[in-house]
Amino acid sequence: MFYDIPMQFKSGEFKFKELPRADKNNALRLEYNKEYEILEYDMIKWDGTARIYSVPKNAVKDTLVVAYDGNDELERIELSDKNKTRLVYIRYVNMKDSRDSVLKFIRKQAKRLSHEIMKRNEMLSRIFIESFYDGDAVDIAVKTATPEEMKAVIDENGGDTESADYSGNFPVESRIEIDRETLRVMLLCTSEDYRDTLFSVCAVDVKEYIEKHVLDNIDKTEDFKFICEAYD
Amino acid sequence: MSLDGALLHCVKSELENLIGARVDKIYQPLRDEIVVTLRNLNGADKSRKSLVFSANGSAARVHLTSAEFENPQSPPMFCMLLRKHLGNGRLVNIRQDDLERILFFDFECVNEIGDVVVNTLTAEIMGRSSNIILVRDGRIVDSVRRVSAVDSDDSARRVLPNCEYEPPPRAERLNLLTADVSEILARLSDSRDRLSKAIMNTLEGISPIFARECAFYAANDVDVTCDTADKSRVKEFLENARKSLNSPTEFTLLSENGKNKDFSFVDIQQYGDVMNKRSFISANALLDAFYAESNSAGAAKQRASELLKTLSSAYSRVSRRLETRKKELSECGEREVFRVCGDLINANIYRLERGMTKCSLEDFYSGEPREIALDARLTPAQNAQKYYTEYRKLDTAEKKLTELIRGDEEELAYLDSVLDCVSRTESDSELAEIRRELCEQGYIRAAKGSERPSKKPSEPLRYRSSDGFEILVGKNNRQNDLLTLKTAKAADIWLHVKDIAGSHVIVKTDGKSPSEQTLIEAANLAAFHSKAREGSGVPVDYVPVKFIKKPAGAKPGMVIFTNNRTLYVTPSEELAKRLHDNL
Repeated sequence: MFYDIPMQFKSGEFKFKELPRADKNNALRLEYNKEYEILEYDMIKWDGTARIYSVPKNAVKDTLVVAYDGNDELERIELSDKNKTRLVYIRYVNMKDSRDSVLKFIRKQAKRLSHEIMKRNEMLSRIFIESFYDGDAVDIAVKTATPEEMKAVIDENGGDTESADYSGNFPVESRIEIDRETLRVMLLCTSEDYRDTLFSVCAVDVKEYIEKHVLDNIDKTEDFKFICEAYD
Repeated sequence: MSLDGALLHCVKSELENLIGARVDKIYQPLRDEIVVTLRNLNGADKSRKSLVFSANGSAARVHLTSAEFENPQSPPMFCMLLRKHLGNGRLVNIRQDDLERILFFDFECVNEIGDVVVNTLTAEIMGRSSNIILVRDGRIVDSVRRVSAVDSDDSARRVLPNCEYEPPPRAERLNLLTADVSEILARLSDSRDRLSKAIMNTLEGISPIFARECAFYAANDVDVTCDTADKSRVKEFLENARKSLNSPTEFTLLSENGKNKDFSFVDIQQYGDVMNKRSFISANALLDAFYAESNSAGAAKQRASELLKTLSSAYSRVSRRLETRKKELSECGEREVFRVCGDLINANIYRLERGMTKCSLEDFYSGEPREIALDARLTPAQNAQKYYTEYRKLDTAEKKLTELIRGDEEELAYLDSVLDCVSRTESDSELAEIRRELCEQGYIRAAKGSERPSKKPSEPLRYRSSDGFEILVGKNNRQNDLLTLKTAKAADIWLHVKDIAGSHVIVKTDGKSPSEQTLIEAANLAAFHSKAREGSGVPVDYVPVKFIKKPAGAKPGMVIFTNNRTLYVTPSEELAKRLHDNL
C-alpha cells in the first residue's frame, strides 16, 4: 500500500484525505508494509530509504499531517494523534538548515534531561551520558547513580571499584532518554555524509549542556564523576 | 624505538603541503588513536589524506597514513567532541617549538554563533605520557587522556577540560637545527659519560638510535666515552645530520627477521648486517610502513582489553569460588567422625546422662578410646541425633559440592577457552561475536539498542593441507560449535589440543582418507590456534566427527568424544602461513 504526498500544495497543514491526488513523478511516495508495520520512502535529495517502524494499520490514513511552507513546498510530514506526534519527514534546504534545526531540537532535549535529573533531588555519585549511533539507530540518554546504587554495583562486581564507572552496570530504570525517534528521522533527512558529524555535535551538546547547567546545581558525593561514553 | 622531535620536524615539513585543507571526517578507531581525513580543494593534489594521531605509549605518533582502520560502530565521546569542534575546519598552521616532541595543528573553524575561531589539536608524542589534546583560546577542551594531580608525573601539570593548556616542562637542551656545532661539542667535552648518553643530554628531540649512531660514526663503538671519541668525526656527523634535517633525502627503517625494529632520519650503520635496512624518501611513508605491522595486532588487543578484563575478573571469581568449595568438600570428608560419635553414644547410652559436657568412650571401629564432646542441655539420645544430623548434612553437602565443583571446573574451562579466543581475535566482528556469546551466557549485559542489525558474522579460518584437504579452524566458541556440529560431516576429522583451550579444527575429507601429513598439518594448526601456541610437543587429539557429542546444556565450544588418538606437534607460524597460502 502506498500514499503519494504532493511535493507542492498550498501553504498550511493538511490531513492526508485533504490533499489532492498527486502526480507520482512529483510526489513523495510513502509505502506501507502491513506485515512489518513499516512506513518507508526514498530520500528526495540523496540515495537511500527512510524507514519508520511500528506504524499501526490505518495510522497513515487517520493521523498523517502534511505541512507546506510559505512557498507551498512540502516541509514536514508527521503522524499525529491526540497522544503523540511522530516525525516522518522533514525537508532541509541545506546543511546549515539541517544543523540549525537538529541543534535547536537537541538543546530542547538537553534542557528536558537536565530538568529531569535535577527533579530527582538526590545525592549523586555518578552521572553518565550514554550515546550510540550506527547510521540508523540513535540513542542519547542520561543515567544517574546514588551512592547506594554505586555500592550495590561494586558489591555485585566483587569489590571492583572500576565497575562503578561503567554505565552498563547500572539498572536501565533510571535512564532518561531523549526523543530518539524524532532525532533519528531528523538525521535520516540530512545528507548521509553529514549524519555522523551532526550526531556527534548533538551528543557533545547534550554533554556540555548538562555539564554547564546541572553539575553545579545538584548534591554530589566527594567521589562524584561525570562520565560520557559511547557504547557499542 | 621512539619517534623523536627531529623526525617529527621532518613529518611536519611534509605536512605543510596540507595547509588550507579542510577536515572531512574524524574517527577514533582506538581509545588513544584519532584519524582525521583532510581534503585539499585548492592544492595540486585534491585527493583525501588521512592523518593518524596516536597517544599509545608504545606507538605514539602522528603521520599521514594509507592504512585502513576498523572504527567502532559508535564513535567515542572524544571523537564526537572533535567532530563538533573541528568539523569542516580548515588547517591553517602546523607548529613545533624547536625540536620538541609536540606538534600543534591549528584549525580555523566556525563556532555556534558563526564566529571564526582557531582550535588546536595538539599531539604530544612523549612515550607513555603521550596525549592528544584539543585546545581553544589556550584552554583545554578535552583530551584523549585526562591527567589529574594524582596521575601527573609533573605535579603542576593537569590535562583536564577547562584547564589552561601548558606544554610539558622542557629540559635545557640545544637545538640541532640552530645551535652552533662548536657549542654542542664544547658541552660534550665537559661530559665524562658515554658519548651517546651525553648527546641525549645535550640535544633536544634526539632518539637513542641517533645518539648511538653518532658514537659509532665517531669511534666504531656505540659505547665510546666522550673523552676518547674523535671530535672531528662527531662534528662531521652532527653537521651531516643537520643537513639531513634541513633537506631530508632518505629515511631508514630497520627490521630483523621480518619484524620492524627502529627508524631514523640518518643512515644507520651500527647494526652492520644484523638488521635489514629499507630506505624511504618520506618521513610519513616511513612511519606508516613502520607502524602498519605492529598496529593491527596492537589495535585488536586494545579493543579486546575491556572484554579481557571482564573475563579475567569472572575467571578469578569462579576460581575463588572453586577453591572455597574444594575446602568445604575436604571438610565433608570428616563426616564419618560424626557418624562414629553418634554410634558410640548410642552404644553407651546407659552410661551417659544429660548435663555431661564430654565423655571418653572406646571406639569399637578402631579399638582406641575417643573423646566425644556433648551438649549438656541435651539427653544422650539427642546428642547422638545431633551427630547423625551433622553427618547427614555433610553427606548431602558432599554430593552437592561435588556437582558444583564439576560445574565450576567446566565454567573455568569455558572461560579459559573464551580468553584464548579473545587473545587471538583480529577484528571487531570477531569480538562482537564473542561479546554476543558472553551476553547469552550472562557474563555481560547486552547494550541497549543491541537489537540493531548485526554485522556479517565472521567466517572460520581456512587452510589447505599439502595434500589438498581443506582445513577449517573456528575462531570462537560459536564458530567452534557451528563448525563441529553443523558444518562438519560424520567422516570429517576433528582435532583439538588435549586439555588446553583452543580452536576446533576440522579436516574436510569428502569421504577420502586424509594422509598422515594432512593430520600432522591440521594438528599443527590446532596447536597454533590454542593457548599452547608457544609450546613444543603439544598433544593434539583427533577423532572422526561421528564420535563427537555435545552434552545437553554444555557451554558453547564444549564437546565430549571417544575413540580419539593423539598426535604430538610443535606449532609453527611459518607452516600456518604456508597452509594458508595453499588456498
